[in-house]
Amino acid sequence: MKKIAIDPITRLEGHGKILLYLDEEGGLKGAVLQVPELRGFERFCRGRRAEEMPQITERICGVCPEAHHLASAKALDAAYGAEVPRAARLQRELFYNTYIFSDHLLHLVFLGGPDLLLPKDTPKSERNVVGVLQAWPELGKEVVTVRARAQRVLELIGGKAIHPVFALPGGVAKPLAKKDQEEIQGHAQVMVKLSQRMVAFFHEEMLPDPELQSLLLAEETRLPTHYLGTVDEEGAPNFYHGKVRAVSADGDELFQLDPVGAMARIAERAEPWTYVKFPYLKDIGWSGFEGGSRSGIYRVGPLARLNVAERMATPLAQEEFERFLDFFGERPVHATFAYHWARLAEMVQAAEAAAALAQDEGLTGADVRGRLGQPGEGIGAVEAARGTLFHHYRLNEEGLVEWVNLIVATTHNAAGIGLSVKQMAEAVVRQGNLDQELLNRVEMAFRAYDPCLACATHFLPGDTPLVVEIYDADGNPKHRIAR
Amino acid sequence: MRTETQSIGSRARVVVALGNPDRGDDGVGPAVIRELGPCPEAEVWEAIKGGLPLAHALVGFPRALIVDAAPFLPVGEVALFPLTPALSHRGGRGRREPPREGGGLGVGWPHGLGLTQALAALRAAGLDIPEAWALGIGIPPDPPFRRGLSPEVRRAVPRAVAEVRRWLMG
Repeated sequence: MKKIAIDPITRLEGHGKILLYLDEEGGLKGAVLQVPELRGFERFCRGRRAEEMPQITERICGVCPEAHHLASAKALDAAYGAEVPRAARLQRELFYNTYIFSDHLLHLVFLGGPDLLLPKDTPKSERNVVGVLQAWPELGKEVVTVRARAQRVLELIGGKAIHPVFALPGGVAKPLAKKDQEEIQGHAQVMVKLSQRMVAFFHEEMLPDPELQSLLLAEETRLPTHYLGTVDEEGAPNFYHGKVRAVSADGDELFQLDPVGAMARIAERAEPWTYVKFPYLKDIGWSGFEGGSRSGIYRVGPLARLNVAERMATPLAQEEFERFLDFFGERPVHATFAYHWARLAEMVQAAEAAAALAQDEGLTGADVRGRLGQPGEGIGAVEAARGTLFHHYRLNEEGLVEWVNLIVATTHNAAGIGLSVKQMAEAVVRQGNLDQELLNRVEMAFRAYDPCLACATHFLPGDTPLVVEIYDADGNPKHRIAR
Repeated sequence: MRTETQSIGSRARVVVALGNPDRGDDGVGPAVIRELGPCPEAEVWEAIKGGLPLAHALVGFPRALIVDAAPFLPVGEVALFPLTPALSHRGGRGRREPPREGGGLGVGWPHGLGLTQALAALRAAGLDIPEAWALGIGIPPDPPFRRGLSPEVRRAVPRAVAEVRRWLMG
């Protein structure tokens, strides 16, 4: 069997790569994403002081440390049986919604932008963030400016713009000053305005594009799976807290449980060719790498959260949600490229939620640290930008970490990403085009999920290559394509 | 060590350490700035976010130096690289070009922007980005999860500190 390895990484992301397996006739037999194992990290944390965990685990990812920081703090809240005071919870929620807004905005315009905003025939040299900025200079500048404001909110609450340090077991490090709240209110209003502009831009400039319509509606990009995400009491997506809800590929509720109960419904499949374990819904079981209602494979992230939701939590986001459902005319929506649109709806909700939280008088409350009980076991879950993130810790009586298990968003999606990559690459491989076209197609499928691969937080030399390596039937490298 | 939130007054130069102290030699950047000690002529940060957030944080500084582990260099080698594209033609002692796979701005990695990409994006958006350099310290590839530097990389720290001081004077 021939093997094609697509390696989108330098050492930053450890072992993450995409492998394409060809059959003897040159067709595509299978595709999988190898994501880096976090088991080494989990072992490394044993014996550390529990309160260090939000600082240690946020280094798993240099792009979304906010998610690990708060999932870790929530796991410690649970492990110590601590009640988080309202002011601290408001700080955390405001911080977290701002992170979701900022992260989704980055992805929509700068990471997904080359796929969504530039014509298909854009030269390779211009198919990048600068190309997007040149094609849409006013929008690009506004995005850059508003992201800086969001970054400022993260700095005011998180303690540092590029290194959040505020969350502690049972709360946060310090009360928020009134003047900081007033500054945040101004930033949050601008975030809402940009969200509205992005919605208008999407419907006026992007959605009418036949290429985007084709991506959204093509059968080759439709992947029926089950879905998992966190919802509040009203059934709206909630990024910070709530019940974890799963719906089937047919749209039926499978369960709605707290994170402890939800983790118990997930099993992990080990495969000999990768360190990563593939999570699946235990009650349905593992039936191989296939989608559909009889497979236990599920997906997480923006599309999944909209698929498990009954409604959105805020008015403008609700309007966008309704347009989203009208367009696809089905529930759940199975189109993989709908992840981008779902990301837009979530970005709107996050901005509106941040604006509302910024107005709350309780935000500057002085009581920001709950009393800690005896150390024990705890699970913390948040919805990271890319999907549900679980941190599960067991502490000994001295408050040292005894055991750690993390299930990150990209791990949940690993099987789904492989299936989507296979769908996108199939036709190209069949035509024998093992070249840049293959690279582009695979990358588009990959990027729709915005996968998060554990990194070492540094960025030299500044660009990260995308490399395809093609192996012959004996496993010898035959060809290499690089961006 | 001062942080980005503590000293907004002097914004002439900034030295940023990137790297994960929990991944062995990857933590050489933070180790270098700890060894550097008090540095009144510049702001000194340790950052865990790169890409666009870091680039945003650098806006307004005339000069920036990123101190980072570099697995593409021989282990223990210390080298200064231009990060701002306009600086690429400038050479000099200890300066070299970082290796590139396919080069250019590309589309970057699927999950974020590289720092050079992010700086280029901000410049395209009309923001005042710094003259940015990177000081790379060669480490073995794929560092494990553990604390502490290997002997070879530890021996490079004084040379890296000297290079930071030279950059600060330059």
